[in-house]
Amino acid sequence: MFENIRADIMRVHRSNETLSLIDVLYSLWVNYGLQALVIYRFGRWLNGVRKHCISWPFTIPLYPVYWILSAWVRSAYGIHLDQSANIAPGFYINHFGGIEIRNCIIGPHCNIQQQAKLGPAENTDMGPVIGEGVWIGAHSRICANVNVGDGAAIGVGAVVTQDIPDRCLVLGNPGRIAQRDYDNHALL
Amino acid sequence: MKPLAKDIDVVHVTQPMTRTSVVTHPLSGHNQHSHWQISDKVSKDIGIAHLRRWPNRPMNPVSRLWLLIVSPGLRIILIHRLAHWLYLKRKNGGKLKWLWDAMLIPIGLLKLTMMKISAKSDIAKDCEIEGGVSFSDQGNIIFGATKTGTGTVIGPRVTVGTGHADMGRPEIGCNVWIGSDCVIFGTIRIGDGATLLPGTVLSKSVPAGVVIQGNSPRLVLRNFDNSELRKRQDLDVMQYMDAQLRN
Repeated sequence: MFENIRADIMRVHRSNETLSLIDVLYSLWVNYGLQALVIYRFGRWLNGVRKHCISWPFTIPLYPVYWILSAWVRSAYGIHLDQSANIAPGFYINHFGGIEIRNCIIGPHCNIQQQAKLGPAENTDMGPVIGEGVWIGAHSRICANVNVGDGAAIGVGAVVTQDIPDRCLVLGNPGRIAQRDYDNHALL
Repeated sequence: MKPLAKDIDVVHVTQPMTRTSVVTHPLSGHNQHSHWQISDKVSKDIGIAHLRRWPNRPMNPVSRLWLLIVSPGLRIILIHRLAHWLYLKRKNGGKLKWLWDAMLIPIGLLKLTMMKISAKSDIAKDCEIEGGVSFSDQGNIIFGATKTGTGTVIGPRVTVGTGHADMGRPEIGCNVWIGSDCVIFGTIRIGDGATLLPGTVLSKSVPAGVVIQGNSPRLVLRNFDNSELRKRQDLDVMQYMDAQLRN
Protein backbone atom coordinates (compact mmCIF):
# COMPACT_ATOMS: atom_id res chain seq x y z
CA MET A 1 0.00 0.00 0.00
CA PHE A 2 2.65 2.51 1.02
CA GLU A 3 4.82 1.93 -2.06
CA ASN A 4 1.80 2.57 -4.27
CA ILE A 5 0.83 5.76 -2.43
CA ARG A 6 4.44 6.88 -2.59
CA ALA A 7 4.45 6.41 -6.36
CA ASP A 8 1.20 8.39 -6.63
CA ILE A 9 2.62 11.28 -4.63
CA MET A 10 5.80 11.19 -6.75
CA ARG A 11 3.56 11.44 -9.78
CA VAL A 12 1.81 14.53 -8.38
CA HIS A 13 5.16 16.20 -7.80
CA ARG A 14 6.49 15.07 -11.20
CA SER A 15 9.84 14.12 -9.70
CA ASN A 16 11.88 11.07 -8.72
CA GLU A 17 13.68 12.70 -5.81
CA THR A 18 12.95 12.04 -2.16
CA LEU A 19 10.09 14.04 -0.68
CA SER A 20 9.87 15.75 2.67
CA LEU A 21 6.91 15.23 5.01
CA ILE A 22 5.71 18.80 4.34
CA ASP A 23 5.53 18.06 0.61
CA VAL A 24 3.50 14.93 1.22
CA LEU A 25 1.04 16.63 3.58
CA TYR A 26 0.68 19.66 1.30
CA SER A 27 -0.05 17.55 -1.77
CA LEU A 28 -2.59 15.52 0.23
CA TRP A 29 -4.30 18.75 1.33
CA VAL A 30 -4.38 20.37 -2.12
CA ASN A 31 -4.89 17.41 -4.44
CA TYR A 32 -8.40 15.97 -4.15
CA GLY A 33 -7.70 13.15 -6.58
CA LEU A 34 -4.82 12.02 -4.36
CA GLN A 35 -7.11 11.87 -1.33
CA ALA A 36 -9.52 9.64 -3.22
CA LEU A 37 -6.66 7.46 -4.43
CA VAL A 38 -5.19 7.02 -0.93
CA ILE A 39 -8.58 5.90 0.36
CA TYR A 40 -8.92 3.49 -2.57
CA ARG A 41 -5.45 2.01 -1.84
CA PHE A 42 -6.42 1.64 1.82
CA GLY A 43 -9.50 -0.36 0.82
CA ARG A 44 -7.46 -2.56 -1.53
CA TRP A 45 -4.99 -3.21 1.27
CA LEU A 46 -7.82 -4.19 3.63
CA ASN A 47 -9.14 -6.63 1.05
CA GLY A 48 -5.63 -8.01 0.50
CA VAL A 49 -4.88 -8.82 4.16
CA ARG A 50 -8.29 -10.42 4.66
CA LYS A 51 -6.96 -13.87 3.74
CA HIS A 52 -4.66 -13.93 6.78
CA CYS A 53 -6.89 -14.84 9.71
CA ILE A 54 -4.45 -13.39 12.22
CA SER A 55 -5.09 -9.84 10.98
CA TRP A 56 -8.87 -9.95 11.48
CA PRO A 57 -8.99 -8.43 14.99
CA PHE A 58 -6.99 -5.44 13.75
CA THR A 59 -8.62 -4.89 10.38
CA ILE A 60 -12.30 -5.42 11.20
CA PRO A 61 -12.61 -2.05 13.01
CA LEU A 62 -10.96 -0.39 10.00
CA TYR A 63 -13.71 -1.40 7.56
CA PRO A 64 -16.26 1.21 8.79
CA VAL A 65 -13.52 3.85 8.53
CA TYR A 66 -12.97 2.92 4.90
CA TRP A 67 -16.70 2.89 4.14
CA ILE A 68 -17.24 6.34 5.65
CA LEU A 69 -14.19 7.86 3.92
CA SER A 70 -15.04 6.42 0.51
CA ALA A 71 -18.67 7.53 0.79
CA TRP A 72 -17.46 11.02 1.70
CA VAL A 73 -15.13 11.17 -1.31
CA ARG A 74 -17.90 9.92 -3.60
CA SER A 75 -20.39 12.52 -2.43
CA ALA A 76 -18.05 15.46 -1.91
CA TYR A 77 -15.75 15.22 -4.92
CA GLY A 78 -17.71 12.92 -7.23
CA ILE A 79 -14.73 10.55 -7.64
CA HIS A 80 -15.88 6.94 -7.56
CA LEU A 81 -12.92 4.50 -7.57
CA ASP A 82 -14.57 1.12 -7.15
CA GLN A 83 -12.73 -1.72 -5.39
CA SER A 84 -13.25 -3.92 -8.46
CA ALA A 85 -10.84 -1.73 -10.43
CA ASN A 86 -7.17 -2.69 -10.41
CA ILE A 87 -5.12 0.48 -10.56
CA ALA A 88 -1.33 0.25 -10.80
CA PRO A 89 0.89 2.74 -8.92
CA GLY A 90 1.54 6.19 -10.33
CA PHE A 91 -2.07 7.09 -11.11
CA TYR A 92 -2.99 10.75 -11.35
CA ILE A 93 -6.45 12.35 -11.20
CA ASN A 94 -6.43 15.87 -12.54
CA HIS A 95 -9.76 17.42 -11.54
CA PHE A 96 -12.76 16.17 -9.64
CA GLY A 97 -16.38 15.54 -10.57
CA GLY A 98 -18.10 12.65 -12.30
CA ILE A 99 -15.17 10.20 -12.40
CA GLU A 100 -16.28 6.56 -12.35
CA ILE A 101 -13.85 3.65 -12.53
CA ARG A 102 -14.97 0.05 -12.04
CA ASN A 103 -14.11 -3.48 -13.24
CA CYS A 104 -11.04 -2.50 -15.22
CA ILE A 105 -7.26 -2.91 -15.18
CA ILE A 106 -5.16 0.23 -15.44
CA GLY A 107 -1.39 0.18 -16.01
CA PRO A 108 1.20 2.34 -14.27
CA HIS A 109 1.61 6.09 -14.85
CA CYS A 110 -1.82 6.77 -16.28
CA ASN A 111 -3.58 10.10 -16.14
CA ILE A 112 -7.32 10.75 -15.90
CA GLN A 113 -9.44 13.88 -15.95
CA GLN A 114 -12.88 14.97 -14.79
CA GLN A 115 -16.10 13.33 -16.03
CA ALA A 116 -14.21 10.32 -17.47
CA LYS A 117 -16.00 7.00 -17.18
CA LEU A 118 -14.20 3.63 -17.32
CA GLY A 119 -16.15 0.44 -16.90
CA PRO A 120 -17.89 -2.55 -18.43
CA ALA A 121 -20.72 -2.30 -20.92
CA GLU A 122 -24.21 -2.97 -19.63
CA ASN A 123 -24.89 -6.54 -18.43
CA THR A 124 -21.23 -7.59 -18.79
CA ASP A 125 -18.47 -8.17 -16.26
CA MET A 126 -15.17 -7.09 -17.73
CA GLY A 127 -14.24 -3.51 -18.47
CA PRO A 128 -11.30 -2.09 -20.41
CA VAL A 129 -7.67 -3.12 -20.02
CA ILE A 130 -5.50 -0.05 -20.19
CA GLY A 131 -1.75 -0.11 -20.78
CA GLU A 132 1.12 1.90 -19.46
CA GLY A 133 1.32 5.69 -19.60
CA VAL A 134 -2.11 6.33 -21.12
CA TRP A 135 -3.58 9.83 -21.05
CA ILE A 136 -7.37 9.79 -20.74
CA GLY A 137 -8.97 13.16 -21.45
CA ALA A 138 -11.92 14.88 -19.86
CA HIS A 139 -15.47 13.66 -20.60
CA SER A 140 -14.14 10.54 -22.36
CA ARG A 141 -15.89 7.21 -21.99
CA ILE A 142 -14.41 3.71 -22.28
CA CYS A 143 -17.34 1.43 -21.50
CA ALA A 144 -16.50 -1.83 -23.30
CA ASN A 145 -14.08 -4.76 -22.98
CA VAL A 146 -11.32 -3.26 -25.13
CA ASN A 147 -7.52 -3.11 -24.93
CA VAL A 148 -5.88 0.28 -24.95
CA GLY A 149 -2.19 0.08 -25.81
CA ASP A 150 0.80 1.63 -24.04
CA GLY A 151 1.31 5.34 -24.50
CA ALA A 152 -2.06 5.97 -26.14
CA ALA A 153 -3.91 9.27 -25.73
CA ILE A 154 -7.71 9.22 -25.48
CA GLY A 155 -8.78 12.68 -26.57
CA VAL A 156 -11.24 15.01 -24.87
CA GLY A 157 -14.81 13.73 -25.17
CA ALA A 158 -13.83 10.54 -27.04
CA VAL A 159 -15.98 7.41 -26.77
CA VAL A 160 -13.81 4.33 -27.31
CA THR A 161 -15.56 1.27 -28.75
CA GLN A 162 -12.68 -0.68 -30.35
CA ASP A 163 -9.17 -1.87 -29.49
CA ILE A 164 -6.54 0.86 -29.63
CA PRO A 165 -2.92 0.03 -30.60
CA ASP A 166 0.14 1.52 -28.89
CA ARG A 167 0.85 5.24 -29.20
CA CYS A 168 -2.36 6.33 -30.92
CA LEU A 169 -4.43 9.50 -30.54
CA VAL A 170 -8.17 8.80 -30.44
CA LEU A 171 -10.71 11.55 -31.04
CA GLY A 172 -14.44 11.95 -31.54
CA ASN A 173 -17.65 10.09 -30.88
CA PRO A 174 -17.49 7.23 -31.94
CA GLY A 175 -13.73 7.19 -31.39
CA ARG A 176 -11.49 7.12 -34.43
CA ILE A 177 -7.71 6.93 -34.54
CA ALA A 178 -6.75 10.44 -35.55
CA GLN A 179 -2.98 9.99 -35.49
CA ARG A 180 -0.65 7.00 -35.19
CA ASP A 181 2.74 7.15 -33.49
CA TYR A 182 1.57 10.04 -31.30
CA ASP A 183 3.83 11.16 -28.46
CA ASN A 184 1.75 11.92 -25.34
CA HIS A 185 4.77 12.73 -23.20
CA ALA A 186 3.87 16.42 -22.97
CA LEU A 187 0.34 15.64 -21.77
CA LEU A 188 1.32 13.27 -18.97
CA MET B 1 -62.52 54.63 -7.01
CA LYS B 2 -61.35 51.25 -8.22
CA PRO B 3 -58.65 51.27 -10.85
CA LEU B 4 -59.37 49.66 -14.19
CA ALA B 5 -58.10 46.16 -14.85
CA LYS B 6 -55.80 47.55 -17.54
CA ASP B 7 -54.13 49.85 -15.04
CA ILE B 8 -53.49 47.01 -12.62
CA ASP B 9 -51.81 45.06 -15.36
CA VAL B 10 -49.61 47.98 -16.20
CA VAL B 11 -48.62 48.44 -12.56
CA HIS B 12 -47.78 44.79 -12.24
CA VAL B 13 -45.64 44.76 -15.31
CA THR B 14 -43.76 47.98 -14.69
CA GLN B 15 -43.14 47.62 -10.96
CA PRO B 16 -40.27 45.11 -11.06
CA MET B 17 -38.65 46.94 -13.92
CA THR B 18 -38.59 50.35 -12.21
CA ARG B 19 -37.37 49.02 -8.89
CA THR B 20 -34.29 47.36 -10.30
CA SER B 21 -32.74 50.06 -12.36
CA VAL B 22 -29.44 48.20 -12.67
CA VAL B 23 -30.98 45.12 -14.22
CA THR B 24 -33.51 46.68 -16.58
CA HIS B 25 -32.08 44.78 -19.55
CA PRO B 26 -30.04 41.90 -18.16
CA LEU B 27 -30.22 39.95 -21.40
CA SER B 28 -29.66 42.81 -23.82
CA GLY B 29 -25.90 42.35 -23.63
CA HIS B 30 -24.37 45.78 -23.83
CA ASN B 31 -20.66 45.40 -24.29
CA GLN B 32 -19.54 47.63 -21.47
CA HIS B 33 -16.17 48.29 -19.96
CA SER B 34 -14.78 45.66 -17.64
CA HIS B 35 -13.72 48.02 -14.84
CA TRP B 36 -17.10 48.21 -13.16
CA GLN B 37 -17.60 48.25 -9.47
CA ILE B 38 -17.95 44.77 -7.99
CA SER B 39 -21.40 45.64 -6.60
CA ASP B 40 -22.70 46.42 -10.10
CA LYS B 41 -21.53 43.04 -11.33
CA VAL B 42 -23.06 41.27 -8.35
CA SER B 43 -26.46 42.96 -8.72
CA LYS B 44 -26.47 42.11 -12.40
CA ASP B 45 -25.64 38.46 -11.58
CA ILE B 46 -28.48 38.29 -9.08
CA GLY B 47 -30.86 39.94 -11.54
CA ILE B 48 -30.10 37.48 -14.31
CA ALA B 49 -30.28 34.45 -12.01
CA HIS B 50 -33.63 35.69 -10.68
CA LEU B 51 -34.98 36.19 -14.20
CA ARG B 52 -33.90 32.71 -15.25
CA ARG B 53 -35.22 30.94 -12.18
CA TRP B 54 -38.48 32.79 -11.63
CA PRO B 55 -39.41 34.56 -14.89
CA ASN B 56 -42.80 35.80 -13.68
CA ARG B 57 -41.99 36.75 -10.10
CA PRO B 58 -41.35 40.38 -9.09
CA MET B 59 -37.89 41.03 -7.72
CA ASN B 60 -37.54 42.29 -4.15
CA PRO B 61 -34.81 42.11 -1.48
CA VAL B 62 -36.38 39.07 0.20
CA SER B 63 -36.56 37.07 -3.00
CA ARG B 64 -32.98 38.00 -3.82
CA LEU B 65 -31.79 36.77 -0.43
CA TRP B 66 -33.80 33.59 -0.84
CA LEU B 67 -32.19 33.12 -4.27
CA LEU B 68 -28.74 33.31 -2.65
CA ILE B 69 -29.72 30.42 -0.39
CA VAL B 70 -31.37 28.18 -2.96
CA SER B 71 -29.22 28.72 -6.06
CA PRO B 72 -25.75 27.08 -6.10
CA GLY B 73 -25.02 28.59 -9.52
CA LEU B 74 -25.37 32.10 -8.14
CA ARG B 75 -23.32 31.15 -5.08
CA ILE B 76 -20.33 29.92 -7.09
CA ILE B 77 -20.19 33.03 -9.28
CA LEU B 78 -20.34 35.31 -6.22
CA ILE B 79 -17.59 33.35 -4.46
CA HIS B 80 -15.52 33.60 -7.61
CA ARG B 81 -15.97 37.39 -7.61
CA LEU B 82 -14.67 37.48 -4.04
CA ALA B 83 -11.68 35.24 -4.85
CA HIS B 84 -10.90 37.23 -8.03
CA TRP B 85 -11.00 40.49 -6.09
CA LEU B 86 -8.56 39.04 -3.56
CA TYR B 87 -6.35 37.77 -6.39
CA LEU B 88 -6.14 41.27 -7.90
CA LYS B 89 -5.37 42.79 -4.48
CA ARG B 90 -2.55 40.29 -3.86
CA LYS B 91 -1.19 40.79 -7.36
CA ASN B 92 -1.03 44.57 -6.98
CA GLY B 93 0.66 44.28 -3.59
CA GLY B 94 0.96 47.54 -1.65
CA LYS B 95 0.90 48.34 2.04
CA LEU B 96 -1.77 45.91 3.16
CA LYS B 97 -0.24 42.80 1.63
CA TRP B 98 -0.24 40.94 4.96
CA LEU B 99 -4.00 41.52 5.23
CA TRP B 100 -4.71 40.08 1.78
CA ASP B 101 -2.46 37.10 2.50
CA ALA B 102 -4.34 36.47 5.74
CA MET B 103 -7.68 36.67 3.90
CA LEU B 104 -6.64 33.69 1.77
CA ILE B 105 -7.70 31.37 4.60
CA PRO B 106 -11.38 32.39 5.04
CA ILE B 107 -11.97 32.84 1.32
CA GLY B 108 -10.21 29.55 0.58
CA LEU B 109 -12.41 27.76 3.09
CA LEU B 110 -15.51 29.39 1.61
CA LYS B 111 -14.41 28.28 -1.86
CA LEU B 112 -13.69 24.75 -0.65
CA THR B 113 -17.03 24.25 1.05
CA MET B 114 -19.42 26.24 -1.11
CA MET B 115 -17.88 25.95 -4.55
CA LYS B 116 -15.86 22.74 -4.61
CA ILE B 117 -17.64 20.36 -2.24
CA SER B 118 -21.18 21.70 -2.46
CA ALA B 119 -21.36 22.47 -6.19
CA LYS B 120 -18.37 20.35 -7.39
CA SER B 121 -17.24 23.30 -9.49
CA ASP B 122 -13.91 25.01 -9.86
CA ILE B 123 -13.31 28.45 -11.35
CA ALA B 124 -9.71 29.60 -11.82
CA LYS B 125 -8.99 32.67 -9.74
CA ASP B 126 -7.65 34.77 -12.64
CA CYS B 127 -10.77 34.46 -14.84
CA GLU B 128 -12.20 37.84 -15.80
CA ILE B 129 -15.97 37.43 -15.77
CA GLU B 130 -18.20 40.40 -16.57
CA GLY B 131 -21.47 40.98 -14.74
CA GLY B 132 -24.58 39.00 -15.62
CA VAL B 133 -23.04 35.59 -16.27
CA SER B 134 -25.19 32.66 -15.22
CA PHE B 135 -23.82 29.29 -14.14
CA SER B 136 -25.95 26.17 -13.93
CA ASP B 137 -27.36 25.13 -10.56
CA GLN B 138 -26.33 21.52 -11.12
CA GLY B 139 -22.64 22.31 -10.92
CA ASN B 140 -19.75 20.05 -12.03
CA ILE B 141 -18.31 23.01 -13.92
CA ILE B 142 -14.54 23.37 -14.41
CA PHE B 143 -14.07 26.89 -15.72
CA GLY B 144 -10.85 28.55 -16.84
CA ALA B 145 -11.70 31.02 -19.62
CA THR B 146 -9.57 34.15 -19.64
CA LYS B 147 -12.48 36.50 -20.43
CA THR B 148 -16.23 36.01 -20.38
CA GLY B 149 -18.78 38.54 -21.65
CA THR B 150 -22.13 39.59 -20.17
CA GLY B 151 -25.24 37.47 -20.65
CA THR B 152 -23.34 34.22 -21.11
CA VAL B 153 -25.13 31.13 -19.80
CA ILE B 154 -23.12 28.03 -18.84
CA GLY B 155 -24.74 24.64 -18.41
CA PRO B 156 -23.94 21.72 -16.09
CA ARG B 157 -20.86 19.49 -16.49
CA VAL B 158 -19.08 22.00 -18.72
CA THR B 159 -15.29 22.12 -18.95
CA VAL B 160 -13.58 25.27 -20.23
CA GLY B 161 -9.80 25.48 -20.45
CA THR B 162 -7.02 22.90 -20.48
CA GLY B 163 -5.22 20.76 -18.00
CA HIS B 164 -1.97 22.40 -18.99
CA ALA B 165 -1.46 26.13 -18.75
CA ASP B 166 1.00 26.25 -21.64
CA MET B 167 -1.64 25.07 -24.13
CA GLY B 168 -3.63 28.29 -23.79
CA ARG B 169 -7.12 29.08 -22.60
CA PRO B 170 -10.29 30.14 -24.41
CA GLU B 171 -12.01 33.49 -24.47
CA ILE B 172 -15.81 33.69 -24.50
CA GLY B 173 -17.81 36.60 -25.93
CA CYS B 174 -21.14 38.11 -24.81
CA ASN B 175 -24.48 36.29 -24.87
CA VAL B 176 -23.01 32.85 -25.56
CA TRP B 177 -25.19 29.89 -24.61
CA ILE B 178 -23.17 26.80 -23.64
CA GLY B 179 -25.19 23.62 -23.18
CA SER B 180 -24.54 20.73 -20.84
CA ASP B 181 -21.52 18.38 -21.22
CA CYS B 182 -19.63 20.81 -23.48
CA VAL B 183 -15.83 20.88 -23.52
CA ILE B 184 -14.00 23.95 -24.80
CA PHE B 185 -10.21 24.00 -24.87
CA GLY B 186 -7.25 25.62 -26.60
CA THR B 187 -6.36 29.22 -27.45
CA ILE B 188 -9.66 30.05 -29.12
CA ARG B 189 -12.32 32.75 -29.16
CA ILE B 190 -16.06 32.15 -29.18
CA GLY B 191 -17.91 34.99 -30.90
CA ASP B 192 -20.80 36.98 -29.42
CA GLY B 193 -24.16 35.24 -29.42
CA ALA B 194 -22.83 31.80 -30.39
CA THR B 195 -24.76 28.72 -29.30
CA LEU B 196 -23.07 25.44 -28.35
CA LEU B 197 -25.63 22.64 -28.24
CA PRO B 198 -25.23 19.94 -25.54
CA GLY B 199 -22.30 17.56 -25.97
CA THR B 200 -20.10 19.78 -28.13
CA VAL B 201 -16.31 19.39 -27.99
CA LEU B 202 -14.81 22.55 -29.42
CA SER B 203 -11.15 23.37 -30.05
CA LYS B 204 -11.40 25.95 -32.86
CA SER B 205 -12.57 29.56 -32.91
CA VAL B 206 -16.15 30.20 -33.97
CA PRO B 207 -17.66 33.45 -35.37
CA ALA B 208 -20.57 35.36 -33.84
CA GLY B 209 -24.14 34.08 -33.95
CA VAL B 210 -23.57 30.48 -35.07
CA VAL B 211 -24.93 27.20 -33.71
CA ILE B 212 -22.38 24.39 -33.19
CA GLN B 213 -23.13 20.77 -32.42
CA GLY B 214 -21.34 17.47 -32.04
CA ASN B 215 -18.12 15.84 -31.00
CA SER B 216 -15.87 16.80 -33.88
CA PRO B 217 -17.99 19.95 -34.09
CA ARG B 218 -20.20 20.89 -37.03
CA LEU B 219 -21.83 24.21 -37.87
CA VAL B 220 -25.60 23.81 -37.80
CA LEU B 221 -26.98 27.32 -38.33
CA ARG B 222 -25.80 30.87 -38.89
CA ASN B 223 -27.28 34.11 -37.51
CA PHE B 224 -29.26 32.34 -34.80
CA ASP B 225 -30.91 34.35 -32.03
CA ASN B 226 -30.39 32.45 -28.78
CA SER B 227 -32.16 34.91 -26.45
CA GLU B 228 -34.97 32.43 -25.76
CA LEU B 229 -32.48 29.74 -24.73
CA ARG B 230 -30.69 32.14 -22.41
CA LYS B 231 -33.90 33.47 -20.89
CA ARG B 232 -35.54 30.19 -20.02
CA GLN B 233 -34.03 27.56 -17.76
CA ASP B 234 -36.78 24.95 -18.18
CA LEU B 235 -36.77 24.81 -21.98
CA ASP B 236 -36.45 21.43 -23.71
CA VAL B 237 -33.45 22.36 -25.84
CA MET B 238 -33.56 19.60 -28.46
CA GLN B 239 -37.29 20.09 -29.06
CA TYR B 240 -36.84 23.84 -29.34
CA MET B 241 -33.88 23.49 -31.74
CA ASP B 242 -35.78 21.01 -33.90
CA ALA B 243 -38.61 23.52 -34.22
CA GLN B 244 -36.13 26.27 -35.09
CA LEU B 245 -34.36 24.14 -37.70
CA ARG B 246 -37.67 23.24 -39.39
CA ASN B 247 -38.57 26.92 -39.83
